[in-house]
Amino acid sequence: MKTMKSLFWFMIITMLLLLVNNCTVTRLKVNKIERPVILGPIQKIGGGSFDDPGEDFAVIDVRTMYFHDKTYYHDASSTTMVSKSYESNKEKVDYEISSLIEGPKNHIFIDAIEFEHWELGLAGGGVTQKNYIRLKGAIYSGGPK
Amino acid sequence: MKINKLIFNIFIIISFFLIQHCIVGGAAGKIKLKNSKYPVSLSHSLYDNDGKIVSEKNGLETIKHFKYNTSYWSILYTFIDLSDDEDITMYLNTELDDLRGDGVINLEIENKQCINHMFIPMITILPFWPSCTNINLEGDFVRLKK
Repeated sequence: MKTMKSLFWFMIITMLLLLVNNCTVTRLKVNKIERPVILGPIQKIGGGSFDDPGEDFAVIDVRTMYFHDKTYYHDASSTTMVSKSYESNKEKVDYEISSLIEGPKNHIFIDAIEFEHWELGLAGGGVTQKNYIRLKGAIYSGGPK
Repeated sequence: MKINKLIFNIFIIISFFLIQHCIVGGAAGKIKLKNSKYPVSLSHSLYDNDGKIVSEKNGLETIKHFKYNTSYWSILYTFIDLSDDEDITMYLNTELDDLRGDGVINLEIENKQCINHMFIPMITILPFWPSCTNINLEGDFVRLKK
């Protein structure tokens, strides 16, 4: 009976610990970019799209790439680490995207926003968590004709 | 004899503690907006019908700021996705239809842990147990200034 009581209190306490400790957030925000970063097949107001880039753009180079592929692993029990990751992630995303389309004639189209969260380990005592957001898309170098 | 029983009890408690804390779980997904009727931009500008860039400073007006939360579910440790982005597309299409808007700018996305792992950690070890991740979207509905 005593063992059962102990187990019960262990469960309650550890679940409370889990609630306090586990928090992983990845946020993606695009700042400081003057041109559109379009997601999906509809790219223009009014329903049009740049379906044939050769027709709409003077294309110099087309690159398909992951714009952002940062994965953060951290101990869920460290809340300061989580908030640091959160901040640095925002800054990193801004920097990476803006540097890719710095050229005045570059255009960027996002095919998909991919994301994942998983965790593995002993909760409350150090779960390894992976939490990412990734933009998959293409850059067209060249101006509209 | 009593010592043996005590050791056994401690062993049981520690084992249960470890098993209860063991978490294996997560979810993955994609947002593609295949069926969107309107352009959606992660920055603060869009292409107009002629392919020219328009922004809030130059040609666009914000109608409404929105927040939308959804969950993506997976089984088999994220190998099989159970969710898609249809609800997000439907929400954006419906809102823009109602508001007579022309598109979305400043789209932000946040990927956050789901709370179900915390309440039932032990069961998430099972591969067929569904697991989720929370997605929060934020942005502005806009229309072309007349």
